[in-house]
Amino acid sequence: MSAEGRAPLVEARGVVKTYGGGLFRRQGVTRALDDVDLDIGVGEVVALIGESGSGKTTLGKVLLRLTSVDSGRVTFEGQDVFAAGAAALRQMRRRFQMVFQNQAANLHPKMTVREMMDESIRLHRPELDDAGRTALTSTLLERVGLSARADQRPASLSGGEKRRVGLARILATKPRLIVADEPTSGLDAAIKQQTITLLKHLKDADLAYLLISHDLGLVRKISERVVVMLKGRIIEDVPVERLGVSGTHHPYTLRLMQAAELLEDHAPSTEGEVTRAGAAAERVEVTSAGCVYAGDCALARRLGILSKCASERPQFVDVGERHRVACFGLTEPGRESNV
Amino acid sequence: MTAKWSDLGLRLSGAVVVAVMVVGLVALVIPYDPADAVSYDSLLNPPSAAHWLGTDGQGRDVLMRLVKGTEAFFLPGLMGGLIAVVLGGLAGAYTGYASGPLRSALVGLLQLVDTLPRLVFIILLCTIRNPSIPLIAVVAGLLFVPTVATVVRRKVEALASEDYILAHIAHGFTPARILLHHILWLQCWPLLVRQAAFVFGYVLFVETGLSYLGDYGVQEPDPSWGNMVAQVKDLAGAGAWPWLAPAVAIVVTIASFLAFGNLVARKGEEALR
Repeated sequence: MSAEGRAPLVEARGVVKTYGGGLFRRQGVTRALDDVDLDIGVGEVVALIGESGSGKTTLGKVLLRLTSVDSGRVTFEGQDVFAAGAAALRQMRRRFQMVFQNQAANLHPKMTVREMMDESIRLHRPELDDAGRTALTSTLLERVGLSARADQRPASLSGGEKRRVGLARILATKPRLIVADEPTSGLDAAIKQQTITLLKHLKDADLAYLLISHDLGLVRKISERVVVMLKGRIIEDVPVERLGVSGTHHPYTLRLMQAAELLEDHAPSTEGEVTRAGAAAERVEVTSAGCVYAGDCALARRLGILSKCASERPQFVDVGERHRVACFGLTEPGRESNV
Repeated sequence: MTAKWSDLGLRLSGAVVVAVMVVGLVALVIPYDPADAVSYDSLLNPPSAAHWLGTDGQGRDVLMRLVKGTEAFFLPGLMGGLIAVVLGGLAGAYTGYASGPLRSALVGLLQLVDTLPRLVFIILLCTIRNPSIPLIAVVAGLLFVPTVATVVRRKVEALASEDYILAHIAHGFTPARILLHHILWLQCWPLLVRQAAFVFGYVLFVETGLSYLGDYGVQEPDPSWGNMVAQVKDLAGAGAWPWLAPAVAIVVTIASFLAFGNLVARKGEEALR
């Protein structure tokens, strides 16, 4: 669950969020988040990985109350996020912030960088006077390396610079949690590296990150814990040192890791395709109560537990220190021989 | 249009707009008694030092009546423009951001109003109640609310789809501040200026049209550019100044307001890019 030895910062319990299924709509309800539990400790860096549509961004937004939930509970510093009144929520928003994937979203096209900084500081640090705001603006812009761009408007900034303006605005609030949605997407390699360095540089003992990313390189470089999501559920929660083909256990995580190694090494490997081929061989009715990966899972077929996987939800099993996996295959006797 | 021509257009139309505003304000404070102005010693005089634009068929100074005639549309036009822009802006911001039955009802109401043929509706209103010009201006303003609301709503929806609104809520701004300050005030002003100028021109057009037709609008002896032009029917070619001056004023004013609104809006939109 939460990282040992750390005080909890965010605790999400049993979060369910569904889309669609309106009054006259015949199509089924999409469970964007299906009974999700997640803890983030004070100062912890957690990465959330998984394919598009797995619910990563939705979960990030739920933690910051940027979208509604059907059921479940989220607390931040012990306070219930969804029960907070307007004033309490405003106070909370100062302490949790989000970097959006669309870098233009955080910026006003008409304002210069300096004006935007001034606006953020006015909002979040009302105790400062004009001189204090000017000084803080310079300090923050220096921290993100944008001092020279203070009088530019967003249109003349590059993608990486836009992200850094967003970060500088966020830092004005002295946040304790930053949710960063794909912070390196759309950036070229050099700028990506700069952004990673900056994120590390801005981090202090009190500041936690939740990084939502496809980019395993980024994840390995700065996170401490990796949470893998698939179709609205968390299926594995693993310390970053163990991230890889040999350290992870869920068949879906393994497939992700294999695919990543394939990309990184350009080495020919047929294992991924074998897994796919095996999955296609047998068709089974997967109910929403079952494991979300059952339909594609080769392990379940090899172990002959597919009917169980398709109809029952696997609970988390602790497989090591701070490492939990939701898979029936782990407790089956035939498992080890197949890894 | 090249930048040079649009700059010239902006200056010329801007000069007319400013002149109309100044004259409109001056007209509110200078005294004028139309009955007193009648002078049978100086009927249909050509322009002279005493009467810069000559006199009309009752010996009244045309320039004076032209200035005083702005009273009929000046404040009503501003009011109509303001109503369209303020209500339209608020309705557009609300319907672009909110969801739920109240929003759906408002969108439906706006669509309903939008289907009314404006001029037919105003004339119909006149035949039933014979309203005053200010009331007509209010109605004209209301009839333009859906137009403004639709443009603003599209803008808000476009920004919402880019996560702009959510990102600013996440940063700590209230939805009201984002919608009213960030979006309406800082980003929608060009289109609001364009719409306000258009509604002003529209009110001037309706007022002069009704006053020209005679049964509704401003009645003689009170001056309106519309009823001044209407004198052409009685003059039988005896003199051009009494109707030519207001006719030119109507065309130039409406054209300038439309051009000014468009050019200012275009410049503003370029600056926002």
